[in-house]
Amino acid sequence: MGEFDSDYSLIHRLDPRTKLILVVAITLMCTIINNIFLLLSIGAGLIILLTFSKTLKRVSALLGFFLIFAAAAISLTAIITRDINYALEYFSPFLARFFIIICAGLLFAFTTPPQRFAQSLQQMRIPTSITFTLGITLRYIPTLAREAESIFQSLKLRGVHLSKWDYIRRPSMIYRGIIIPLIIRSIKLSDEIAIAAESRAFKSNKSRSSLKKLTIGKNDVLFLGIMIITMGLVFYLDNNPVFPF
Amino acid sequence: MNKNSTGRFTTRDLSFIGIIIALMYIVQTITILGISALTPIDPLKSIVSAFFVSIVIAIGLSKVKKIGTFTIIGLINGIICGFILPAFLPLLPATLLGGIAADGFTKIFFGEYGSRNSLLGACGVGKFIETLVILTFPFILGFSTNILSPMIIIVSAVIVALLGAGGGFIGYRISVELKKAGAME
Repeated sequence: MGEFDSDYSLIHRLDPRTKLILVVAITLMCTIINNIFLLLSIGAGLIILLTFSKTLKRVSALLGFFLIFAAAAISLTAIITRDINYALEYFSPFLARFFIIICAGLLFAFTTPPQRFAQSLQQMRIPTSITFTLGITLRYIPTLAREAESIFQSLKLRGVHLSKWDYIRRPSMIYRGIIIPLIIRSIKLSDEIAIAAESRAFKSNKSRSSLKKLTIGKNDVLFLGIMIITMGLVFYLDNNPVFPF
Repeated sequence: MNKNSTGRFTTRDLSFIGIIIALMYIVQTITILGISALTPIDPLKSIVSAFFVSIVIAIGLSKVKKIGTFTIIGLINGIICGFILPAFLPLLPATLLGGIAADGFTKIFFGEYGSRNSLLGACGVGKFIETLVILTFPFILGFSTNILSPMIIIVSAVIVALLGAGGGFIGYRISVELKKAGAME
C-alpha cells in the first residue's frame, strides 16, 4: 500500500471519486483506441502522473514484474514462430492496454487511503452493507496477516518446523496447525467487530454520518477538465491519424 | 444482535463476510503471487488459486447461508482486486458475475447455502463463470483477437470449476468440524 498522507502530492489530495472516474474512463478508452502510438502515449502520460504523485519508485517493482512477463511472452512467441516482427505486432496492442490499466489502477491504489475510498463509495450512495463490509476487509487484511504470522511462529515455538516439502507431503499439518486456528480467530474477531459496531448504534440498513465529508474541489474540476480535453484529443487523433503507425 | 438490519443481512453477517474476504485476499496473494505468478500462462493462475480460495468461501457460506452472500463476496473481492491490488479493473466484473451466477444457481436448486451440495455447486459455478469472464473479457473489450483458443478457455474453466467444487467440499468439512467443536454456529 502507498503513502497516504494527503499532503504528499496533488494527486493524493484529489477526491477518490475523481480518480475512480479516471481509472474507469482510461480502461474503457484504451479498449476503443487501436493506434499503438496513442496507447503508448497514454501509458507515458500515466507514468508522468505516477512520477508527479511521487509513487513511481514504489510501483516500479510491480511494473517491472509486468515488463518481465511482457518480455517473456514476446520472446516465447518469437522463438515459436521464428519471427520477432510477428511477435511484436501480435502482442504490442494487448500488452500496451494491460500496461495502461495496471498503471491507472496503481495510481489509484497508491494515492488513495482505503478508508477514504470506502467513504467515497458511501457518498456515492452505495449501500451501507457494501461499504461497511469493504471497510472491514480493508482494515483487517493486515491484522489477519499478522495473526497468521503469529500462529506460524507459535507452531515453531512448539517445535514444529515445517519445511517447503512438508506443505505438500503433510497437508494435515497446515490444516490442523494453521488453517483451523486462523478460522477460529477470524470467527471471534468478526463477532467482536459486530458487537463493537452495534454498541455504537451502527445499523447496516441506515446510511452513516461522517465527521469529514469528501467534497469535489477546484483541483478535482481542473483535473477532470484536463482529462476530458486529453481524451477528446486522443479520440480525435485515433479517428484522424496524423502519425504513420 | 440486531437481526433485522438490511432486511436480511445482520451486522454480524456483514462483519463475518468482511473478515472472510480479508482471509480470501491473503490466500489469493499467497497462491497467485507465490506460485502462479511464476508462470506467464493466464489459466494456470486461476487454476492454482481456485481450490484454496474456494475453501475460505465455503466456510463463509456455511455460516452466512443467505442468498446474496456470494455476490457481496464477489463484489468486494472485485473492488479490492480491481482498484487496490493487483489494481486490474477487469477482475471486478469477473468476480461479481461469478458471485451472481453462484447465488442464482443456489437459489434455483437449493434455496439457501449450508448443505454440502449447495456449497460444492456454488463454488464450482462461481469459479467457472469467473474464469470464463477473466479469459474472455480481453476478447470482448478488444484487447486481443487471438490470445487463447475457445477450447483452452472451456477446459481451463472446467478444471477451475472442479477445483472450486473440491475446495468447497473441503470448506464444508472444515465448517462441519468447527460446528461440532462449537466454534461456529
